[in-house]
Amino acid sequence: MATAAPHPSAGRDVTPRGGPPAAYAVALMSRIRARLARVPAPLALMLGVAAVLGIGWSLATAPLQGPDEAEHIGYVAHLAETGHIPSATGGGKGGFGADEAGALSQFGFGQLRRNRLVRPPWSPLAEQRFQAFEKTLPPGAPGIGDGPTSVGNNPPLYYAYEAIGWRLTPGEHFFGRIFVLRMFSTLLLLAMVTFAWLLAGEVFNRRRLPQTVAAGFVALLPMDGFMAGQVNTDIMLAMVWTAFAWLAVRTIRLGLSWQRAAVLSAVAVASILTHGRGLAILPPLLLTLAVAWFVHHKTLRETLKAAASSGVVLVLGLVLYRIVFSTAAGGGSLYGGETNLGHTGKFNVRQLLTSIWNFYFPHLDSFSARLGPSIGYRQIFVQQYFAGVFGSFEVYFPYWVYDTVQVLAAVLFVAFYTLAVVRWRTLLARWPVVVVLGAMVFSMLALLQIASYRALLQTTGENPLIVGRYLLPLGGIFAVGLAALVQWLPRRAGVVFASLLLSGLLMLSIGGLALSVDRFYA
Amino acid sequence: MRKAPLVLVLVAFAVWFFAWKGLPFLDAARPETFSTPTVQPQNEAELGNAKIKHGQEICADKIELGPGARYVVVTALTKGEPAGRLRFTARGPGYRAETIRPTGTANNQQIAVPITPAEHTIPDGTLCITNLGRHQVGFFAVGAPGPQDTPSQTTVDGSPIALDLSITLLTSPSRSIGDRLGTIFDHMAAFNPLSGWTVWVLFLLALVGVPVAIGVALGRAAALDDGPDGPERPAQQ
Repeated sequence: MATAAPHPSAGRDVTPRGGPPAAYAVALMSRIRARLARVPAPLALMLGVAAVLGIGWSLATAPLQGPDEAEHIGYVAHLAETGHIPSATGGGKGGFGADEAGALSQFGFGQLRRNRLVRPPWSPLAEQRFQAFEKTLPPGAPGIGDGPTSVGNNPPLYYAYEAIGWRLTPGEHFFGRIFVLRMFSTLLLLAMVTFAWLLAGEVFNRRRLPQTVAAGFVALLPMDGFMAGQVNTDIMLAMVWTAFAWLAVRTIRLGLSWQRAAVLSAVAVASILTHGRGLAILPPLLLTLAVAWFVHHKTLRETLKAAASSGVVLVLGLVLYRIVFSTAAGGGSLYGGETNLGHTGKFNVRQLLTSIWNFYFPHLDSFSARLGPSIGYRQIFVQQYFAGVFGSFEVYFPYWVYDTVQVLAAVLFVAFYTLAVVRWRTLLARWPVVVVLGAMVFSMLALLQIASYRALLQTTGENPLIVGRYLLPLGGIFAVGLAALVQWLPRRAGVVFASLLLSGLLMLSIGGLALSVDRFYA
Repeated sequence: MRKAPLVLVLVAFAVWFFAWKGLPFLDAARPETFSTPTVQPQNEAELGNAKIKHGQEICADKIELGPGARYVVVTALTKGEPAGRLRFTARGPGYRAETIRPTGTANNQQIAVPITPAEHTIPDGTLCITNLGRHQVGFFAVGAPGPQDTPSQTTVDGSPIALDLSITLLTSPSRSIGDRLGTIFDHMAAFNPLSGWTVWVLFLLALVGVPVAIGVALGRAAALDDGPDGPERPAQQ
């Protein structure tokens, strides 16, 4: 609680020197308790909400049924068991361990994927049969999936994190491991909620209501909970970006120092080592450092130290990347379609720009048609992000829900724009924050559009390589935008709006959970 | 703004939403699935036609049967005329059930045929359909081998075919979700290191605890901002 008195044992010197281990344990526990007691109540409650929904999503979605979840689990298994990354093109034993391959082909979990007419096995007999099957597998069988696999180009940070859960799972049963891996993903959502709270605290001078709205948006957005209940890199990327946004705004407020530059760069490296889309963080990193330098006018010496520390961290990240690259089983390169921007001579800037126009706005006769399937703002932002699409895209709301969300999103955008114009002096005074957060949004959306355009060129319009969950890294910034609305509205109206917003998101989350349970288990 | 009214508003909102959408959802009757031992085709590209002539028998093996397996669901394919009589047989060690489906099954009609359930679980049961009519009849099937192949093998008069007969087993053709929440939660807990009651706890937390938590969090936040220790203080984050 913000106003709670410090715990008597919160001091640093409570740990007895030379005391028995039990005394250390007691001192440690009381320090942890003291720290927990300092967590503001609204944040603690939102963390509880995120935990309940994250666990709920992990149970509502049958194992291996999240987006590309089977492939991600195969990567984790191979990395955890062998220490190597599976290959995107090489290998030879496939993308799954023997236990996972059996679950997919012999126990119905493969047939279940994307087929709404199939149900997972759920009888005690089926469980016993799978356990008997696991016992027949030779040692090391869970890790044999060396590739080829569609996620083999992904960098390894998320998988290394999940590999800890894989190794720690009691009993080492395959489905027990999936449960633990999903819980590890849920922990990332809790971290994301915390960073959204901290980000809003920086932006709104620690006003609790906007902070609560920002944390609540992240905790209650159905796609956040859904992805936190699956094994997928996207939730880690979202968490890392939210952490970056907080640190960037904090750096701008406090000024550039070599420590802050190093930490900010380390988070950027984490983004790059999480997913190819994480590369979009580099322009905001450079911009943040430049803006922080510009705002605080540090001395040349301090500036050089900050630049050097940032450079050292980035170089270390590059070295790490090269080491990881060299351990990839089948050679090849890290990163997939998101960064595979070369090797085609068809790139046309005019066509890209018209493609982006057609994505967001109605088609104009003077513009050429968008390549590939007819998708745009409605499908990617409204259906697949703000409202949500679950399972492997086969679980979705009735269309009236998407229509309603689209209208409400438009109303909120107009309200935000109007209040921003009315309060332009406030925004102008906070221009560094606006520039940095805006740059993060622009950088990610630009990367997604360019990657999508290139993917469409390379697949002759078949694969647009853009889906709603790719917007998860921007969740913290969208949350700040909504929190700004709460802050700018009159006091009572702000509270009512906050209540309606979070209630609406809760309705969507509960609705999505119910649809998923109905699809998989009813 | 005081905390209590906000909590009450949010709880009332949650109750209204539950009454508006939750109750009809829980009350809606739909088939209660026992298992899907083989795969139903989702679209025309996946659709196979497992045909049997007069007197022939099509069987699918390695089907788990038990007290909950009370209906066999298949979809018939006929050419013009309705199908003749069909005999559905479920069998396993110490168990045999037989049902005659009378003439009249139309083309592309999904039928749920009741069978006398086994008294105990039979791991490797067999389901058979015998064509007692004069004309050939087919059934929905999916290609095997293929991504939708299952351990079950489909045979016609004992000879394996390259299709999997699409079968769904139901406990009831129509039962509300609300009536079987406990069963559904048991399904959710299967293949997880949890039990059904933990899913009940989570269900109640999501339905009651989360709205209350949101209300308390908002009320508390508003009170903190309004209070003497408001945001202008040099507070912790």
